[in-house]
Amino acid sequence: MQSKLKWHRVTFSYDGYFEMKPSSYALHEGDFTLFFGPNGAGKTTFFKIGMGLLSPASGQVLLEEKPLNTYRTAEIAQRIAYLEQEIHYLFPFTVEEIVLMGRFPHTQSHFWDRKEDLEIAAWAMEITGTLRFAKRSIFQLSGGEKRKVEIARAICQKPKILFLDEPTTFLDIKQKNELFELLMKLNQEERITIGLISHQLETARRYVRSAVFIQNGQIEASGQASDLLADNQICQFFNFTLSSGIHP
Amino acid sequence: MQKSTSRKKIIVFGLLALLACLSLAIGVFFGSTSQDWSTAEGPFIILNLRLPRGLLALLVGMALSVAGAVFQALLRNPLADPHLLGVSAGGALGVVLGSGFLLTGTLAFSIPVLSSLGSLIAVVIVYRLSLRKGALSIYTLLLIGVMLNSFFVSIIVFLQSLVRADELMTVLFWLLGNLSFANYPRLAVITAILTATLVLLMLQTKKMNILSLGETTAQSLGVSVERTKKIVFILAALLTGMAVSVSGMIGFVGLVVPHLTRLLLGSDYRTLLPASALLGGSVLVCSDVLARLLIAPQELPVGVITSFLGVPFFIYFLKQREAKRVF
Repeated sequence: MQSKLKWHRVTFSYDGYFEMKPSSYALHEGDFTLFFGPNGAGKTTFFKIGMGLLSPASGQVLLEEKPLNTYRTAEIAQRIAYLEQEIHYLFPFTVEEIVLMGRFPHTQSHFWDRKEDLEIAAWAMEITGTLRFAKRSIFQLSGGEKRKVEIARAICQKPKILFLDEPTTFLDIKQKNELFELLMKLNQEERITIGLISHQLETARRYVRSAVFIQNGQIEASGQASDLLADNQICQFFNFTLSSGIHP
Repeated sequence: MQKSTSRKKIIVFGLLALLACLSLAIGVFFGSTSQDWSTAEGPFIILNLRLPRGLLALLVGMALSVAGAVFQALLRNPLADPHLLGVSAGGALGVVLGSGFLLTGTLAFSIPVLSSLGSLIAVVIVYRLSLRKGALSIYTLLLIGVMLNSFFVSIIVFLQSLVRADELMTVLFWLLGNLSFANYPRLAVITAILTATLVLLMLQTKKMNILSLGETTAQSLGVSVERTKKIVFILAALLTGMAVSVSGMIGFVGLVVPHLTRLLLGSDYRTLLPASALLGGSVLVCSDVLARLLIAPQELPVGVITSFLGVPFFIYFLKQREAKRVF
């Protein structure tokens, strides 16, 4: 089966204080994969290498079977969208303006928005339930609403792959569940391949299909979510024991 | 929904353009002596003194406001203004240094050249020192710029204590903002630079919008971040250096006008830049009229007016908006 995105023995080092050991993994069309592990293990680095935001020291990334470094920045952005852990907004852009930024890699125009772009933005806001506050300033939204706007911006890129880096950090339980429901919908109905970094293992295992455990700059385990995210397996990964067996 | 927004934008743009024309008319017909075409020296004063001066104020106001708006996006700091990074102080230092070697009479004419030279050197130093492995680090840029600014100012103050009193006044007056060195050839040069820079900046506006979300996100959206930052920095520095070279360090316009424009029209740089230009031009023309009239026949440095009126006005607007959580 053809892979959408493939990391082939990639390594990386941040000026010597962090090292990513040779790691390989492949995402296929329709995957919904959780990347988990301790903080500082290299999950974000792995994502960034996968989308060309960082160049690997050795090894190779293949996007749709072709080397990533043969793509231009905009060509990668047409295929992969990325949600940072936290976005700090400087100016009171409206929701619609932010979502429209997702069309940037597709437009040749430096200035105008095409009718097509406006339609796709409307579609993205519809799907994410953000259309009703399209004209509001991003400063007026709650954490959960902001996240949905950012997802709308990301899918406005019409990506094949969506990477999200701890998207639930500032959300309450209800917002968290809504977010996962939305991701599942995008995965199943829009056929977007999703890679997700999260510490919300309990919630995530109800939705994701596969999982990757990263520790000390290395992929330690990968496979079916049901296997990797079982209680006893998690305890083993993170090296602790559960007294009651209810909640990690 | 889309339609009503763009209609509102068109109306606001129309009003801003009207405001700019109106300010220019005020600048031409109000002065320490009342003049019109019928008096003997009226046409001369209007055509050779007030009109070029009004036009200079308009162009400088435009340049400073656009530069301010651009620096705010580039430095990821809403408090950024054109004078923050030492470009202006470099220009000022050029003038002060030059004035030590020149006769008083030639000073007024050589100021633009000296200032441009000083700004250029400052830009090169700040830019070179902020490059890390070929990438322009925004934090370093901000730190180096602010440091260099203080460094230049300290040298300026030191040199000022050495020069003759009459020269000191000329230089000091220029430093605080002075629009009296206007003439048509100079206006033509400024118009050409401003137009070219503005056109090039307009082509970067979508990228500036995206860049304000942070460099990582911008790059993930397909923006070539490094190239954009460099282009935008050079263009904004050029505008600043040019404005300072013909008018000194007029404060506050570059900080306040972009924010006022955001309150009027929103944050989209595609409308923000041209609208800031119109509003900034109008503001400076009107401020200059006040500077000429308040203590006539004496003149105030126009920078005094912009800061004195700008601060309370801005705080008022900010508080208004804060209540609605928009800004």
